[in-house]
Parts: sequence; C-alpha cells; structure tokens
Amino acid sequence: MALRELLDKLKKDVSFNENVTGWSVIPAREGQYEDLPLDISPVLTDALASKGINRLYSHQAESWRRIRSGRDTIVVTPTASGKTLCYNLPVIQTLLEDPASRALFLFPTKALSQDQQAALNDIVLDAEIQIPIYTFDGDTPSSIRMAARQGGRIVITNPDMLHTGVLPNHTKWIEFFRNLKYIVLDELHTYTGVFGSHMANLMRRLFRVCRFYGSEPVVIGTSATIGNPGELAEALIGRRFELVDGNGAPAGEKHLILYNPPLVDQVQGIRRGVVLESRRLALRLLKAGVKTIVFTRSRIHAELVSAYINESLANMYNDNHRIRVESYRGGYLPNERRSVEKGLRDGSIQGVVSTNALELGIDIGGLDAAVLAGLPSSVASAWQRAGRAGRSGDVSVAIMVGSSSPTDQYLVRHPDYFLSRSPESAFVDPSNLYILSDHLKCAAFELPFEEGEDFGGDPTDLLGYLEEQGVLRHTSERWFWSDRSYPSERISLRGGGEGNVVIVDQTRGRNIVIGEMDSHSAREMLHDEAIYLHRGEQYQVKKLDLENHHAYVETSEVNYYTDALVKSDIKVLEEDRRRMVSGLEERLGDLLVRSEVAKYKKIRFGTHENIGYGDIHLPEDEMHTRGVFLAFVPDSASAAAWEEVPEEMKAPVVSRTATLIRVVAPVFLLCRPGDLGVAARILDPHHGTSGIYAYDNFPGGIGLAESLSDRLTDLLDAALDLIGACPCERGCPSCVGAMDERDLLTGNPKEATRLFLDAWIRNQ
Amino acid sequence: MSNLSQRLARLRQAGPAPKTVKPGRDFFPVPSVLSEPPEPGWKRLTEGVWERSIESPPLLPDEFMDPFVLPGPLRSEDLVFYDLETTGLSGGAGNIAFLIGIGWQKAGRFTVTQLFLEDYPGETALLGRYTELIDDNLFQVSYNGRSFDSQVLKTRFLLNRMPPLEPPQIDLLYPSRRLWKQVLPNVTLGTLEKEVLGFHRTGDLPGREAPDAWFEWLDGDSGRIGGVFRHNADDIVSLARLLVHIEKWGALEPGAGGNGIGKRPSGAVPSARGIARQWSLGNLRRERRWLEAGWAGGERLCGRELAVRLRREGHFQSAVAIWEKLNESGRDFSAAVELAKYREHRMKNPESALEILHGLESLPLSSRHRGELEHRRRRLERKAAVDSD
Repeated sequence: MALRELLDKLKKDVSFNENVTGWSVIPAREGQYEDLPLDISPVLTDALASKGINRLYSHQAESWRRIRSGRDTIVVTPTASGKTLCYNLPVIQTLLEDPASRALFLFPTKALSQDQQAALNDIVLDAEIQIPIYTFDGDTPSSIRMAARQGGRIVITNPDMLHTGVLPNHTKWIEFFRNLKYIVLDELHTYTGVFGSHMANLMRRLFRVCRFYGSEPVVIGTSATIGNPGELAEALIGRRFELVDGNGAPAGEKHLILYNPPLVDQVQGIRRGVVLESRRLALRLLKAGVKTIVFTRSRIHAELVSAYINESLANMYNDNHRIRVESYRGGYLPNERRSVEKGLRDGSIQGVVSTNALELGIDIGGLDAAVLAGLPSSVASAWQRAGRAGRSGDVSVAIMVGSSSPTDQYLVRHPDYFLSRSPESAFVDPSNLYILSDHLKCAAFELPFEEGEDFGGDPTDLLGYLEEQGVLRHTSERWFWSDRSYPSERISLRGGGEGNVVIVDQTRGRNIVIGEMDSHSAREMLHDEAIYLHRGEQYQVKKLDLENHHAYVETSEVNYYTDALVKSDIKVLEEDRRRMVSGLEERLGDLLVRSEVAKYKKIRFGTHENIGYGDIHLPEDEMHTRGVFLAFVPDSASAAAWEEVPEEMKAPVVSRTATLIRVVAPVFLLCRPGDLGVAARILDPHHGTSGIYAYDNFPGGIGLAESLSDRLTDLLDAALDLIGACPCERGCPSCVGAMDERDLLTGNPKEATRLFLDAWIRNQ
Repeated sequence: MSNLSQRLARLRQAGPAPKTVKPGRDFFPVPSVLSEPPEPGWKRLTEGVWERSIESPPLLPDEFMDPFVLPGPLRSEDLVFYDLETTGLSGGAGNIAFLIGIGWQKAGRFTVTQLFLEDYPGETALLGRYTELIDDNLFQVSYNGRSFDSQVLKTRFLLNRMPPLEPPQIDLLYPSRRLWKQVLPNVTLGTLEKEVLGFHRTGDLPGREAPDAWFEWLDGDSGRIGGVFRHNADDIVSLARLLVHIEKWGALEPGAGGNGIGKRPSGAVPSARGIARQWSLGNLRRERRWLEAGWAGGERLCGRELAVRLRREGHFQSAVAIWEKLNESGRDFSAAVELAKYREHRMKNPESALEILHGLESLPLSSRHRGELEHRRRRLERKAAVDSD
C-alpha cells in the first residue's frame, strides 16, 4: 500500500533522516476478544449484530463485568479502542431492566456531548429501544428542557451546566436524582489543575444531592493513558476505583517519527519554522495518496496550513488537484464538522488540518498518517493525537515535528520519552481554599449543611469562615445559605473565578469577546500596549481595565512581541514541611506572592533582539498560594555546586536554572508552561540561603509545586540535557532564554549554568 | 483537611478584608432570642413562625357571574390571593420564602393573613401552617405566581419533604399584559396600581430590598422588616382590586354609551385589541365586537386583525376596504402586502399589485421585510411580463 512504500522511501532518504531524531516501530497487535456476556439482553445483542459486532474486546467485557456488579470503574484505553461501548452497554442494559433508572453522562465539552448523543442514538434508535436520551446544555431550547428533566433516562451534559443549571435547581430533577444509577465521566484526564479541583468539588455537590434523594449511583470513568488514572479518579470522586486497563482492541503496525527542523542560525539556535516543515511533510504524504491529519497549535495555523496545502496541490497538469484537504477546528458549526467527518469516512476528503478540537474522542474514521506541528506538552495528549492515525488496523505513521520552544526541543531529542517513560501524572487539589469555599457556597445554596456533615473532609471551619463573611447563617445545628445571590452564577469552573478579565477585540469597531484570562496573568500579558498573541493572531492591548475586568485589544502587525518584567516579592506565611530531596532541601508552605509589573521589553520576532522598553502603570498584585523553596542548604549537593559558581555569575546562573525548571516542568506534570511560577534568589532573606521558589500560579494552589519535588531528579536531568544538547552559544529561547543586553557578563551564562547543574547532579 | 483551619487562619491574618461582608452586618450582635416583629398584630404561632391578620371591608363582589379572566363563574370565597417575599430573586434551591401573604374574602370581610418565618429552622412549621390555611380547591390569584411564587413554594415543600400543594393558578400578569402593554410603559404591579387603580403608596419599601431586610432582621436589626410586611399586605390588596378592575372591563360592552365605550372604569384605558385578545381565549363573539369597536375607534391593530377574519370568512370586499384604509398613506407594509396578494391572486392583476408594492420601496424596512418584498416583486414582474407577451 501507499504508506508502506513511502515509509520505505523515507528510510532511505538522507536529507529526511538528517532531521529525524527518533524512529520507532510499534508492532501490530492482535485483538483479544470475548463472547458477548450471557446476561446481555437480546435487544442489545441484535443492535450490536446489526453493526457487525458479535463479540467484545477483552476490556469491554471486563468493564461489563465490573460495572454490572456495581463497582466504580475507570477504563483506561487509548483512542479508537471502542471505549464508548465499555459504558454504553452496561448502562443501557440496566436501563432496560429497570424502567425507572436513569444515567447522567458528563463530557468536558459540548462538541463531545453531541458526538456521544449520536453514538448512543446509533444503538438505541436502530434497535427501537425506548430509552429517551437528551442533551442538556446551554444550547438546549427551554421547550426541551422540561422534557429532559422529566423524561430523560440518559441525560448528557457538561460540568458547567451541572454547576449552574442542574444542581442549584435539583428540585426540578427529583425523579432523575431519585433513580440515578450511573454517572459516566468521560475523558477524565482533562480534569486536572484548576478545572480538576473545581470538578472534584462539583462531584461532592452532586453526590450530596444524590444522598438527599437516596440514590447511590455507580461511577464509570474513562481516561487516556496518564501516569495515575486511578489516583486522579479517586481525587475527583473521593472513592476507590477498579481499573480496567488491558486494551483488547487490535492495532496495526505504527511508526513514530520525531522530527527536528534543521537549524538555520547556529548561534542563536533558530530552526526552520515548525508550521512550514509540517506543511511540507503533510504534502509529501498526501501526494503519495496517504490519508493524513495535521495537528496545529492554533486555529489560525490550521487555516493557514490547509490553505497552503490546497494551493500547492492545485496543479492542473497532474492529478494532485483531486486531493481535498479541509480544516477542522473548534468554532465550526456541527453540520460543517459532520460534513468533514463524512468526507473523511467516504473518501471524498483525503486530508484534514485540525487544532486539538479533534484530540478528544470524536469519531473521524480511518486515517493513515498524523503530522503534529509542534509537540504536545503531555505524553497523554501526544498519544491521543498520534492515535488518530491507524484506526483501520493497517500500518500507520505519526510524525511529530518539534518547534523551537524549550519543551519541544527537549522532547524531540528524547524519542525514548514517548515510548518508554511513564506518562505524566495529573494533579488536582480539591482542598484549595478558594475553590473549596466557592463550592461550599454553592452546596449550601443547594441544601443546608448539617453539623458534622462531610464534604471531602470536615468543612466546619470553612463554614464558620463563610458565616463571618455573611453568606451563611448557623442556627439549630445547620448552616443555611443567607445571601440574595445565586452563587454558582459567579463561579467559573475553568478559570480563576470572579477575577477573570474578558478580552474584547475592538478592531474596526468590532466588539467581540475573544477570550478570558485570570487577572493575575492579565497583568503580565494584557497590560496597556502589550502585544497579545491569541490563537496565532496578533493583537495590541489598547486598555486594561482591571476594575471592570476588561482588556480591549485591536489586531496589530508590529514585528515585535512584549515581555513584562515582573518583580516578585515572596513572603513565607507558614512552613509545613522540610525534607531533603535531590541534593537540596525542599521547604513547603503557604506563600504570599506580591508581584509588580512596572516595565516591559519589546522583542523582535525571529531574532529575539531587545528593541526597547515601555512602562506599565498597574498597582501591586497579591496572591496567596502554595509553593516550595528549593534551598541550597549547607552540606548539600546543590550547595557544593553553588559554591563553585564564580561570584559574578551567581545571579545569572540561579535565574537561568529557575527558568529551566519552569520550562521543563510541563514535561513531568500535566500543566501548561505558565502554571508554575518560579523566582530565583541569590540570598533569600527569610530562608537565609540561596535557592529557587517554585509556586502554583493560582490563588490557593492546585498541587503542582507540592508534587514537583517528587520528580525533581528527573527534572534536573532533563534541564541538563536540554542545555547540553542546544547548539546555541550563550543561551537562546529554546533553552535558558536569550541573552539580555543588560547582562554585562564576564562569563558565558549558558556554560556556567550547565556546569552548575552538572556538578549538582554529580555531587548527589 | 487537617491543616485547612490553619491555612484558613493564615489567610485571615494575612489576607485582605473579606470582599463580601455586608456593610454593617458585623456591628449588630446576634441576639440569642429574636425579638418580636414590628407592626401590630403578630402572634407567635409555633416555634419560629409568626402570624397576623388584617381585616378590611370587602373588596370583591360576592360572585363573578360573567367571568373575563377567571376560568368560570366563581364566588369570591373560592379565591385566595397570595404573594411571597423571598431571599433571592432568581429562584433555585437556596431561595427561601420568609413571608407568605394570603388574602381572601369571607362573611363580608377581606382578610390578609401573613405568615412570617422568624428564622430558617421554622420553615417546616411555616409550610405546615400554610397547608392548614390553603385548600387545594381554591383558585390562587397572583401576580407572576405561575412562574415564580408557585415554583418557589413547590421547591420549599420538596426540600422539607412535604407533598407540594398544586392549586389552580390565576396569574393576573398575563391578562394585564394583554390589556395594558400597548398603553403603559411597563406592566409591573406598581405601575398598574398607579395608572390603572389610581392608587399611590406612600413610604413603600421596594420589593427588591426585601431579602436584605430579612437578613438584617436575622442579625437583630428590625429596621426595615416592617416595611416588607406592609409592602406584602399592600400587594395582596392591590391584587384583589386589580382583579375586580379587570373584571369590570370584561363586563363592559363595546359601543355601549354611544361613544364606542360605555360607562368605563377609571384609570388607563386598555387597548381594544388587548381586550379582544383576552376574550379570544373564551368568547369569540365578544372578541369580534371589541375588534370592530377598536377599529371604529381608530386602532390599527384591530383593523388588521379584523381584516384577516373577514378574509377568512370570504368577505373580501370588507377586508379590502379595511386594508385600503390602513394603507391610505401608502405606508402600511402588512396591509399593502395583503392588498397586493388580493390583486394578484383574486383579481389576477399583477400590474396593479406591483403598483402597490412600488409605493413601499421608500419605506425603512427590516431586512426580512425587504427580502419578502423583493421576492414578491420579482414574481409579480415575471407574471406581468408573461401576461403582456
């Protein structure tokens, strides 16, 4: 077949191989099957038979057994392994047996809900099974809402709707909650960080309402392959889960190629652009007749790449113009998306360029190749994208093209990372004070709290705090909601809550909201005159109005971007723990981070040279969070290495080390690059020693910094690898950051940092 | 959550002042025993529930023989008027009714009875007393009760694990909207009191302040709660008066008295179209009479409506006469379109239909209307061309 031939050709292609940093082949695997369970209803057997299914994959059968015996179960399988049947079959079976029973399906996005409703209808409608299924979300017309509440046996919704629509009005859902037998949580691995911490509290509220109505639903979760699916499920739901993780679905041979675009400027470490290289690779695949999906990091890139590919194919003198490539991204209407999906399945479309909108389990049929323009920062997500190719069981290929970001540069040079390393773990902190107290308000609104009632722990103190704040009343052994507001309305599950800044595009009198950002980050990224990059589009901030939570922007075409200089003052409020780890002392505690952004740099695109400064006039910002101080305490490996650093190089070395920790962290923890804040200290006045602060960039903390030290050894190794393998001379944005012209240094900061890390690691 | 309280303590210590503290709330010590509610007549019924009744001369006739907005001939004693004061304005499980006002007329007296919740724990007793007073056979008259008050009560019953009462609802908001929406800036109960009933409250506490007044009461400050009691009682009385007033309009025959309208009730005059719409729910003969009267009195909406009826009944000439009158100045879109349709389909005369449409082109039209006009014009031009061939 076409792909096999092309792979043979690529293997012999010298210029291609020069850029290949890793090429692995995962051999084909036979499927493992089991007969349909004996207790399955004939109606379901027929429905499956009509789709050509006469047996189950082993993990589907295993899920059936666990779920049918009433255990909370989490199914961990890769893309395209028949995951939805794992929960759809046992749920529908129970709903057939018990005509009063109900099920709640939660999907992280609306697009997924629609997809899953289609998948359910596919089973139910054909077999004429009388189970009404409703999607209940912000788009549901009010005429259907009543029917969904009263008659929905399966209700499909998302966490946001559960939070603001369903739970606060639970008395309208009495029959539903009384008879709730199953809760399905799909794509569990997406509930991490702040969103995950909110989710865990939302689940506490959901079970509280279920208890009130006397139901004890079984929870079924599904997750992509992450380091700790069971632990994450437990943190989210507060119960132990049974894990089903043997994948019984067959898979074809899979090639995984890591590709680093060639260097064009050795000194500054500039490589050929990731978008350009990805286009070229995709074209090569498409011209060879290989069905291909390209993943880009932004919507605008998705559009650009597909336009460029179609342009290149539009040659009337050969057959290439028959190849059709479409873009596919969030923001498309369902019918537009359906038509692309259909085109891919029936063969009228050969290529698709997508953002991560397709990463989550939307069915697009069989593709042979995936090109990733830029590496996803998480292994879980890399596998999900790579898994988009090879559905048919034939040979498939995923080419991952690295960008010049430090994380990409680290990952692209470590092919083993994708294959042998365990994927990163996900963290949530359900007891984040801010998030927890927000949900306690919502929970008290839903039902008064009894004294001694549990909410993932004993909430008495926090209830007392809310009473002081005047939103609860404590009387007759209960706490009652005593405020006129509707609390969930003001609490967003996906952002920092009340303080979010809304970004408004006002280009040519437009008035469109293009995004949201927590006010803490907004000070750095949305200050007046900042250049703000949003999904590949460039904007300039006209006005940041923190008081009213608005940032007004206009599109811009300047040749520089801005970087705010943040001065942070960190005060240790309380220390909870000290321990030696990786050659230093980790001191964990609560921090008060005061940050001031007073200046910003203008940096030219491409060359990264500093072309000027500007002033920022914003008041100081305060944040209480959780963090660690990584102290180079006497007699430790880090201190020994630190002493060898020449005095005048100490400042640049510690700040570059801090930068490395910040940029490498997302490789080990499921988080985004900005989620962890760092600050370097030559001599910290509180701790009386040199070291580095690492803290969660969210009020109250979300457990990132706290879990950092467990991976610190790996992290230091990675930092050293990154700096050692980078071909630049004195530092570049792909490793420790570019030289700042204000750095009038005697030595080479990159080399000094490398020596420091190397000595530190060796001393351990 | 072991170190949660420590973290909380640090947060309090180092953090900025809480954002949501209500001004003044901290300054009133919470008394161990709540005092008696202000205003005369309150009796503590059971733990946590107070009750009082205010009597006045009758407001309603003994019987409504010829019902307009009521669902049938009813005696006044079959009706109960009610209104809640709640802790929130947007519904949901955390919204509590702390004051229930009910009014009825029996044995020649109109009585307003109020049940007041002293504090949260009394809610079950409050609802229990309410079920003693209210009987499922009574018709409940309210203002916006269909979507708000009755829903709040239902939620409260369910949360207290009591079977909710579901008496038939007569919500005066809907008929009021039909009758006065065209002639008044809005149809809140307050506006109707002033413009329709000719009645001005003095020193009224606005309804939206009720939640805070109750929270202050809980904190030992009874300064504003008395205003809520009066406001609620006044609302009940206004409801009864409004019903009587609306029924008077129902009893009126259009054209009686020579000037199109007979001895009419005082206050803002409803649109004839509104009265007709209300009648359309129960008495089509009277609806027609009001449409005719309204058109005679110059209400264009009545004319339009009437013409549609006449056309349906096959009285094309009468319908055309109305449309022509409506479109006298050539600026009435819907009448002009109707006339064009008539000329095209009935008279088979596309040219004369086109003439009418041409008159509309200078009008400022919505894009939907403009599209519709364009479509019709093209079709007529095609037809006209075929005809002339």
